Amino acid sequence: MTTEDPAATGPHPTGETTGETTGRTAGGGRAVLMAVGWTWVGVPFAYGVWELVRKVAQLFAG
Amino acid sequence: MPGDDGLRSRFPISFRFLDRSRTVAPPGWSRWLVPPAALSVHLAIGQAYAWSVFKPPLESALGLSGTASALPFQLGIVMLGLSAAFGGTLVERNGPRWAMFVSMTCFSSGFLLSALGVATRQYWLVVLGYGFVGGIGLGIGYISPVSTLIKWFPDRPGMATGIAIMGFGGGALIASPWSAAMLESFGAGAGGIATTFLVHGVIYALFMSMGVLLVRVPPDGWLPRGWTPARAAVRPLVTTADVSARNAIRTPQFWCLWVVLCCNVTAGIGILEKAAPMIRDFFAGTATPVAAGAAAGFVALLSLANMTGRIVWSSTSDLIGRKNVYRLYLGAGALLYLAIALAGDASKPLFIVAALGILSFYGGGFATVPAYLKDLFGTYQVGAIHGRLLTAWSTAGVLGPLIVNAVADAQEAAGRSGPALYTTSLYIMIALLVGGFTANELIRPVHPRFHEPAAGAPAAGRPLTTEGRQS
Repeated sequence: MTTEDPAATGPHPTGETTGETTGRTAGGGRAVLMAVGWTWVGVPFAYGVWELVRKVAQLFAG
Repeated sequence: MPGDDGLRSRFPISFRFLDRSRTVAPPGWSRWLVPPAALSVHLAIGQAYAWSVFKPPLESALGLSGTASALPFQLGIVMLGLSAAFGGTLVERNGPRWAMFVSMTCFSSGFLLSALGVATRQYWLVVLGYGFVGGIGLGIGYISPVSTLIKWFPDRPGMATGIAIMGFGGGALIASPWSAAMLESFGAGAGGIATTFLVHGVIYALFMSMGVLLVRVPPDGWLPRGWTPARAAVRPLVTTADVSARNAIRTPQFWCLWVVLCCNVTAGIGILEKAAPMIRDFFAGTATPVAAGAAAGFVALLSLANMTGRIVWSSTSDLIGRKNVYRLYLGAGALLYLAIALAGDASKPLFIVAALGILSFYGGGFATVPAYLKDLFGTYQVGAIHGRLLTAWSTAGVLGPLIVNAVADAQEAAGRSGPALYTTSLYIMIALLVGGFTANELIRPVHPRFHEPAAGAPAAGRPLTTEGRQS
């Protein structure tokens, strides 16, 4: 995965400033947000795939 | 940007957070936070394809027929098509957060109304709740992240929409065992079903709220680092111009793509609808007939191919182009159907591999279409155009099962058995895929007279209508 910086590639309407400390804090917060966001959808999805794989096994057992 | 209403809001104060202007990403926001937001909606609304779990308990608890217990799902799919078609422009105007909020509210309320309906034994309330109200949530939710994902990933639109639309396939995989486990725990009587619906409504509201809070639109003019629209426009069908939804439906390209989607979905449903009885009938007269458990495993394997095809083929389309990938779906799909028809019951591995290929192309067809629309019509109202195109899905949802069931019934009445029950259906599917292939070949770049005027510059041709575009 890569992260993109909108401010580096295009204009931003709010014109917020990003000091070094603020940037570091925001970066850390976003890393947590990224982990929470993907875990939030990844765990139920993994459960669904696991249940599916269990059913597929019947094709080869039957 | 369309619908960017700046300081003035069309929402009351308590709902201002839904404004498109409030969802513009701050500096440093990662675009990889948008796919989980999209998935939280699609994984939830994909539950619709697991409705069959509720059918037997509803039938015994409320004394319903099989036809009656299918009504909420059928109405839900009809409402999905209608709300996507008619609500697409609103979704574009109000932004993805508004759309996801509406989807969450309708989908969850649908379950809560259904819970009340079962608890009070008023089945019409289940049809109204899950089918009508929940169905609006399905349609608005399905198209809610499409436009936003394409704007965040202009360099990989096929992959981005493939992730979200794969989620719709994955939703049933989660809901099916989860709902069954809940019914087992609460009981399959009226009280147990009502409690199950209630829990579904609450959990899905919570789950989808992550998408509402997390989704962001890119700032005006944002582009991925090192990427320019000109780099994508080297392919003949890819435009840098924009076409409004109103103008898009006046182009032959839209209707060619409608035929492509309708044919591809009909052909896929042809196998999906009868997968379990089909594999059992095909090999009933052989030395190794297929048991019921193995047929269920085959259906599960098809679901896996359908889901995997959505992300794999859609991502592949970013590399080989949209027209080429649909050539593969429709051309190779027709050849795989032909292989099944010619081989009959001679080879079980060939039957399974061919069916998996067809289902992966079916899923790929769904997931690649938003990127194809973006190539042809630009990003301006791609979500609204996608919504209108989904009427092809509704049509195919009726056509596919109708063809396969009618042909199989007629063949059975004529005393046929084994592969002969399905041979005619298979040749009909091949004809449909050839029709779709031809429609795909007819797709050419959209005429400039349909383009919206570029900001600050005269358009190459006079647009038929403009939609009050704000820059």
